Amino acid sequence: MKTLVLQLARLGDIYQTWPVLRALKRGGAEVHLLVRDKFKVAAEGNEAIASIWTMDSREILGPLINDKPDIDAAMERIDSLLVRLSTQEFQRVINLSYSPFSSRLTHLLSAPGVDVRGYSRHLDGWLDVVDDASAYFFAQVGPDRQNRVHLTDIFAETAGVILEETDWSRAPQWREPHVVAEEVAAVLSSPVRPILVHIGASQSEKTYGAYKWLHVIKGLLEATDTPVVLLGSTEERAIAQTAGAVSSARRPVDLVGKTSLRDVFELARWARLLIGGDSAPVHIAALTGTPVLNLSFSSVSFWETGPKSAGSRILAFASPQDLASDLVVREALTMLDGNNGDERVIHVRGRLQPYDPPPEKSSSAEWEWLQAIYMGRPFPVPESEACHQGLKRLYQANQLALDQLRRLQSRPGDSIAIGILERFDEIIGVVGRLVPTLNILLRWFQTERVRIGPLPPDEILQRTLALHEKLHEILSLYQRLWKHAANDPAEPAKGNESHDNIRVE
Amino acid sequence: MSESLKSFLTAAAAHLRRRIEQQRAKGIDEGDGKIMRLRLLEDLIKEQTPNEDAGSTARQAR
Repeated sequence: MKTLVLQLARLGDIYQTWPVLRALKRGGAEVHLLVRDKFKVAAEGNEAIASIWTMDSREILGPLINDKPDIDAAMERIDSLLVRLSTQEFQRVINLSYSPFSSRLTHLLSAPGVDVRGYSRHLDGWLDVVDDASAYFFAQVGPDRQNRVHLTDIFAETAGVILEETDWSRAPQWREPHVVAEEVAAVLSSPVRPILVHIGASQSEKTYGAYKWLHVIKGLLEATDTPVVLLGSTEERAIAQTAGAVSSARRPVDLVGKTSLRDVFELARWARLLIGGDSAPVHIAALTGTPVLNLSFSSVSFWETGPKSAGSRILAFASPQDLASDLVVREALTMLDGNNGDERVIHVRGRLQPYDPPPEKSSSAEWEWLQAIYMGRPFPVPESEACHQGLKRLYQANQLALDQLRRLQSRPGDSIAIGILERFDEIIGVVGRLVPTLNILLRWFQTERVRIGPLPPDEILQRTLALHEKLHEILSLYQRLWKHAANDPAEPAKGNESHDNIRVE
Repeated sequence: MSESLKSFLTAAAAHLRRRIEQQRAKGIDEGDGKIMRLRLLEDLIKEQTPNEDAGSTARQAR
């Protein structure tokens, strides 16, 4: 099946898409990939891709950077992109970009009969969240959310593939010859495998800071004979100069601004360990199987974009200031020696396995709710009196909403019923603000409502009623707790063995 | 993103919105290809971050 995959995010996202592209090819697809021109280099080497298509946003927006923005000229460039892609007659379009822009592009590229996955648009122009994995992304993924499913796994679910080890581990096949810089060749030909230290990241808040890196590098050079190689982009030369200015007998090898991403593949393959933040080299290391010591801070979710290679470890702290450089050194050394590390680390057992966190990170109320709603696990006992009361209010409000919806079945357009239903939205907004844990449930509900789409009014009513009935099923689980509390409020409710295992379908 | 670039794109977005409103006033709805393509350009402008390109997947606007 001729398939177009849209991956319009950044380098790291493109590398995290590699396994899915290989799985699609393994399933018999002819795989085409659309990326931004600026990040095209991250698609090179993936043998599963039949053609790489590019979109140059600067070129499209160019006519607008003017005192008199030329909308028509910019639209011509948009149309040129659409024509280039539409003439390919893709049979399937998979949008792994989850954005408003990509949703419209997906819709415009999807003629009737094309199999579409990911975000698209309905015929009325509103967002169409086509599949369940994209609905999960819409509701639960991103900054300040509590998702623990890795992006690569969400991509795979969206694309409808099951990943295998070889989808990561297959060696890249480069189409163009490549001349390796002398300094890179020297590292690759050294008999001693190095530690790579990636001092940069796509955004500054993801990385560690020059003086912290300096202490890490010094500590590694003093504690081991292993070469330490610095990686980063040209823009990170200033950090490299500070970080590399160590006063020790040995010096790091400074390759900052001197490597292509293809060089990083070869360096990662040769290295014993890569140390870095959320960045393209960490995602390249997932493909080469290189253990990573990932330094992760609160601006990113390591659950979503952390390392995947077996033997990797994650040090997750609120900010770089909270992560002592000697802890980074100690953890790196225990990884090299094959010893157990700090009790706070999150262990990566393998590409196909979930992370293995320490007990204090192993679960949370929000993760239990996510697992219950999306993965069929039992629903959790409310963790607080506020949550208990929030669920009770939701139950009562939802009962009222169900009554109004049934009333509308016999009296379409009943203004009182419609008014009461509008108050339901206000109530769930208030509950979500007062009991943040319940936002998991509320976002699931609101997303499913968005998915109903433009249909004849009686069908919208039927589907809305069915959705409220599902919500009722979930909230009814907690009735036993309220009855228990009413009968014997001094005795705490038991664990969740009293809950049925309801699955939301 | 430089202030001047931001300023140009903001002005362009305002022109684009007026163009869309003109189309809507003619009775053309949001699902029509004409408006969909104008909205596509509008979304491309909106997603220009200070790094002048899209953010990572997990940070995409809804």
